[in-house]
Amino acid sequence: MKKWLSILLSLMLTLSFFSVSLAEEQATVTFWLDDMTDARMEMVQEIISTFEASHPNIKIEFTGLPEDSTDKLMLAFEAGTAPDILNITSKNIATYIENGYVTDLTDLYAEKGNNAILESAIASASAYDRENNRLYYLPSGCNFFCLWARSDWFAEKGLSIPSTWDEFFTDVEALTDKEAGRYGIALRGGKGAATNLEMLMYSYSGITNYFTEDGVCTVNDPKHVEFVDRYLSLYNVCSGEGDINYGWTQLAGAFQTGVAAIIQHTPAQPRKRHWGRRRSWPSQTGRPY
Amino acid sequence: MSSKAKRIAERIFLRWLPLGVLLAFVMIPLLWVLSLSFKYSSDVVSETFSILPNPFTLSNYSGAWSSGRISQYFCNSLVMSLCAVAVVSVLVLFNGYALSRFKFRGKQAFMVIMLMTQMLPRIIIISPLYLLMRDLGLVDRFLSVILVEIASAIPFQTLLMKGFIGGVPKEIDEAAMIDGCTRMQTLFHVIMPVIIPGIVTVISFAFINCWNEYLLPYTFLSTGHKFPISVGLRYMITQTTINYSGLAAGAVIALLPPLCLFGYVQRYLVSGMSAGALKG
Repeated sequence: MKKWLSILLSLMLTLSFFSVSLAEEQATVTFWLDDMTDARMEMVQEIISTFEASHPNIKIEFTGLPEDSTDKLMLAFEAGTAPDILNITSKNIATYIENGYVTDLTDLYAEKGNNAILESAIASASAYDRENNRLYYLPSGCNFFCLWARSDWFAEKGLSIPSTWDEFFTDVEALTDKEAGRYGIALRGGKGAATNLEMLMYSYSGITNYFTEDGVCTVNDPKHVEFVDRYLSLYNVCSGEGDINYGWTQLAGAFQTGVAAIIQHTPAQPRKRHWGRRRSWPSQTGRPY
Repeated sequence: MSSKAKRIAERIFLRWLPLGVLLAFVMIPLLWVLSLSFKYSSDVVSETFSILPNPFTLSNYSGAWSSGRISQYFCNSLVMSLCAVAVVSVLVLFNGYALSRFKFRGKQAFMVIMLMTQMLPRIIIISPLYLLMRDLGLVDRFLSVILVEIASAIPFQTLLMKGFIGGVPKEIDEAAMIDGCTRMQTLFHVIMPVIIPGIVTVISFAFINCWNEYLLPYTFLSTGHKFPISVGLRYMITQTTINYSGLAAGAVIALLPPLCLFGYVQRYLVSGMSAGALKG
């Protein structure tokens, strides 16, 4: 939800750039957004309606596309029928810049951006233009690691949301009721599971660097070993047997359908969401959450 | 073993058992989708396995049809498929008759070229097709999808129709023309009633191909409410979640027209396919 609010706020910001420059002219702006569901499209449509009501000379033609419309977008760019505003995933940013598909927003943002976006985010976005460090898209939000908890289940058991790792392990065990089909946690498995585990173990240990000052790798630190043993011992005891194959979609499904009390993940896939013409965000490195 | 026992054993092991295995192979995924469509989302990911939905719900169908916009996508699919099939069935009838009855220079080459077009995967030519539609001003219009579907269907359906018409003896044409029929009258009043199974086969295959088409409408159309059901179902699969029950309900809805069509025309299909295969 927060991710979507940030996207929608950025949409308003992006549209406001256009509205200032198109203040007196009649204009139609085409806008594509992928990874859409009907619920999301309704939400975006409401935002657009509000914007159009306050800017009667601007009409937004919105198209919501199913997940990953990269191929469609590339074809549209080549044919010259690409939309005016779109969202981009990080894997495509460099390609779009190098092929000249997107507009340089540096001067426009400097003039009309009102420093609405964090400087560090703008700097990261500009870094995708390796040659000239120009800004080609606006960051819409960031991914960070979250612990999602079923507060209703916690209230039932008289527990509070854990604030330490020891509380976490105790609560997971207390919330597990296999006979009722409830588990304390759904573990991230499948492709990309190692990244999740790595982030969690560094959070557990409090170590903030991959290497010590002496150049020794910290991955095999005893604290990390302790965490991995402790965390993975939850598998098939306080988590379902199917977790070993759980990607983010299945993890979210388990949480939303009342199978797991806790999940830990970034709110979306590791690929980043970008706005307007282009946006980039730095990759997260193993930081404690 | 007595001959009767041998016959029974043959019937079981050479007929019913292989058919049973094949049927299970085909039906199990369909029955599973049907089962999912009547379950709540929480029951889909539940660790308790059950084939029969318990509790049973129709909310996925009502939800998909109304709020899921499946009704809109369904209508779009129907419009595009029926338009394409109507044109294809007329054109291939004439094509098939010409190839079957007439000798003309370049006939073999024409048939070979038609066959060669079937060897190109659609995705290879999607970019030039899109540019063509852009230049024609047909991007984001149903007509772009319909035109390409017609062009894609004609080669294969023409060859199919040629086989069906080839199964009708030429003497029938001659007899009709001796009785005063023109070519067109011979085609419509004499040959067409005989090749009804073939026509039904052509229409069925053309309809199924158009109905199931994903790449063309997804590429050529840019407005959400114009997508057909094949693309519309994709909205239920997102980066963060999959609406399994809704998707299953949508898939069952999408399956209904081809299922009804094949249920109605199956007797024509069997005779039509075999006639086209053996004759001409």
